Amino acid sequence: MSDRAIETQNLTKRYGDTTAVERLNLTIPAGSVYGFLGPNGAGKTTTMRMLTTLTKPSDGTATVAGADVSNREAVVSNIGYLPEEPPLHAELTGREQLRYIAGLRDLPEADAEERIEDLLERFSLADDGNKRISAYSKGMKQKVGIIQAMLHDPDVLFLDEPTSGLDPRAARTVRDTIAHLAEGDATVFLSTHILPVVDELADTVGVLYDGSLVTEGSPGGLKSRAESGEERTLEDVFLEVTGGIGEEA
Amino acid sequence: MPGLPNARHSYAIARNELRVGWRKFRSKSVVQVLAFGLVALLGLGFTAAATYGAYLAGQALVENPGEAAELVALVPAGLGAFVLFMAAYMTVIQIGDIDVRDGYLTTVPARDVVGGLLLSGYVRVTGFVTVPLVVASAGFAVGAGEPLAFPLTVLAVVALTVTAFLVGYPLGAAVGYLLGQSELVARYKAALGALVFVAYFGLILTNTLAVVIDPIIETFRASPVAWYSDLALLPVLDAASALQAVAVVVGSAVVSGLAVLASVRVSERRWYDDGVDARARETDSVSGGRLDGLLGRRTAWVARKSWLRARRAPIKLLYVAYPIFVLVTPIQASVEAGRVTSLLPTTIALYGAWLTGALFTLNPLGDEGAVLPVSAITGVTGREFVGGLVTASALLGGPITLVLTAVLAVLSPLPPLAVVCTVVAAAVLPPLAAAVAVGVGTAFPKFEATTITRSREAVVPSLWAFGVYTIVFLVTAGIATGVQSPTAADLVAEALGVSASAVRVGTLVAGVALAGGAALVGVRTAVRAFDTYTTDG
Repeated sequence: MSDRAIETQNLTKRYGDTTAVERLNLTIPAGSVYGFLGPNGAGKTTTMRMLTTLTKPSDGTATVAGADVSNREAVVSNIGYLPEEPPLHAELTGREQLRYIAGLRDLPEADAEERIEDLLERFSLADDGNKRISAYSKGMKQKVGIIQAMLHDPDVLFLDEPTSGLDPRAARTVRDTIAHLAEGDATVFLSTHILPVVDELADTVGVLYDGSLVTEGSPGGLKSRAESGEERTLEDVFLEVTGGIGEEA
Repeated sequence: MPGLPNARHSYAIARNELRVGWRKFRSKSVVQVLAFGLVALLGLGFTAAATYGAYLAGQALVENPGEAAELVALVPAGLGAFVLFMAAYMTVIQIGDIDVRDGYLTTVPARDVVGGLLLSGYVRVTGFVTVPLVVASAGFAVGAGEPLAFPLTVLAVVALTVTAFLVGYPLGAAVGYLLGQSELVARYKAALGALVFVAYFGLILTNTLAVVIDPIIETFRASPVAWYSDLALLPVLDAASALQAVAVVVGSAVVSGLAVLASVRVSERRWYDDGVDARARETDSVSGGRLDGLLGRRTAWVARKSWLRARRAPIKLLYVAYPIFVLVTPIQASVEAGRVTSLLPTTIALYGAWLTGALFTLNPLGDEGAVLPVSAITGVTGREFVGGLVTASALLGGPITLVLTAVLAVLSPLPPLAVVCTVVAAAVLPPLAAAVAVGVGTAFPKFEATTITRSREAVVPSLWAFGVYTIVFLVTAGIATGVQSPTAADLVAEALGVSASAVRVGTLVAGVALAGGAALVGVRTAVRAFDTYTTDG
């Protein structure tokens, strides 16, 4: 993989007359955690869908793990993706779902089994692994979705609201897992509304507003106001760059 | 140019699709499982009949090769056309897409997903035809006294069904893609769907469906599709061409390969291209009006909300079309006679009233869905809630039933008193039917969504509500309209020793009185259920 995990140039998505993402330029180094913030409807999910090849860009270019997003097959083999709604079959058990995905990812059976058990244990799902997903709580489904996305050790992991619906202990596990992943070579592209998560984990934060990247930098850099030396919270920064009162503006 | 699907991935996806489908089926209600059991029994009967028919065909081919061969040549044409149509149709509505699509498309290449859908789709769409025909092939070989006919017939059946399915799939996917791209279709989906249904129903009613199908079968028969007969009959008939038999196998392989590539290409367009999003249109069609003054604001809002939901998601009302078959005989009779028969207006009055009751009132609690607890604590009373639903049904179904019945009754040979009685029934029964339905629907609610198409689920009335309402309706409204025709009225009059006029008026009054009584009970039950609703039942 190149030293740049994600790179976009003037990436644009239009739906008819509506521009969802406009001339987005990102350069995200490998092995980093990128916190992608923005109010509802800012274009975060559309950006993720373009980067995961689920939606074609209207304009501009993007590469993920060294592969152009127009080359779906090359991108797909190197990424893991957790959308807002975890893509799970409710009729399968947690273990069946993960074994199935491991099979589709061509993971050797013994390795896959070991990794599945390890991750189920880490996410406190080992005892419920043989229950149908339809019987899982929202948090348990979210955990299976996360395990599924990271099962094959992807180069780039796209997580859309990964801590949504999780209790504090599970959310802590997710944060620790992301931190653990980032210690290696993996790159995590993290979209969330939970600012402390980004504050804690992200190397770089980008804020999308109305389809455009309005600010980008390290959490520490964004929080300190250079001219006055005054410290702000990430929430202050978010509200300021997205029009003061967020989506209601 | 896309490549071919990975066989291992495709097999895994197909296996999982079938496993998930089977588990979904097993979680269905006992009634649905029993219904499937009945269908399976019918399938066994069909297999036995097909096997015996094939046995006779084998014998006939040996005894009278020329004549029998003519008939046998029709089989691949009919089977090919049927499988191709079913594959295309099912691809549009169900098997052309996959649950958790985003998960799949970020895990394996799209072509592997298509490969899985083709495999599982083939089993789902053609399984109930292919399996009986494979069994029947044994009967054919025995009848013809030629063992080699068995493997060759099986090969012909499998090659034909696979090829027809694989050709139908991309055609259906292309139609699905075009439907998803058309703003006109997105905007007028309900009206276009109704138009197609009416056209199809019209073809059946006027006995002209064959006019459409016959040329297709004939075209297939005159094409290399007929060569599948050569393959099956090669060891039985001297006239069967070995060259054509080989050609059809090679041709099947080539066409199937191309069809798979086409399926991948079209599916990629369908999944990755931006479709028309009709939901993005801004609309605000709900506003106050004269209904507020007539019914009171809350009742009017309940009625308007029902209409609006039906307009935005008309597919959830599909079930009201199920009993439309009752109209087949009277309409066909009228078409054949060239005039309105006496049975048609009374049947229209009966079906129209039933439909009115089934529209918005047959699942009042379940239809509210997640909103029900909120509706229950907004201050809307049971009387207002039930009144709104009954009004929504009656104001929509009532006038249509009345006008249609009145026009047809006047045009029919019914005597004047029967015309009046039928029209009165058409005016009174629809609101009474809605009132009956609201009670039955409350007593037998259904809160779980039912899968209507792959991407569409809706909460529809329970089978119990459907059945009990229909029985109560027939016992009450059926009496009011059932003996208005001259034949029935005369028969009853003779049996009772009274005049036909007395029978007509008497049954109308009795039927309406019974319906009225049932309506009263229904409304009271529904009002009480809503007023005392709690989330723990």
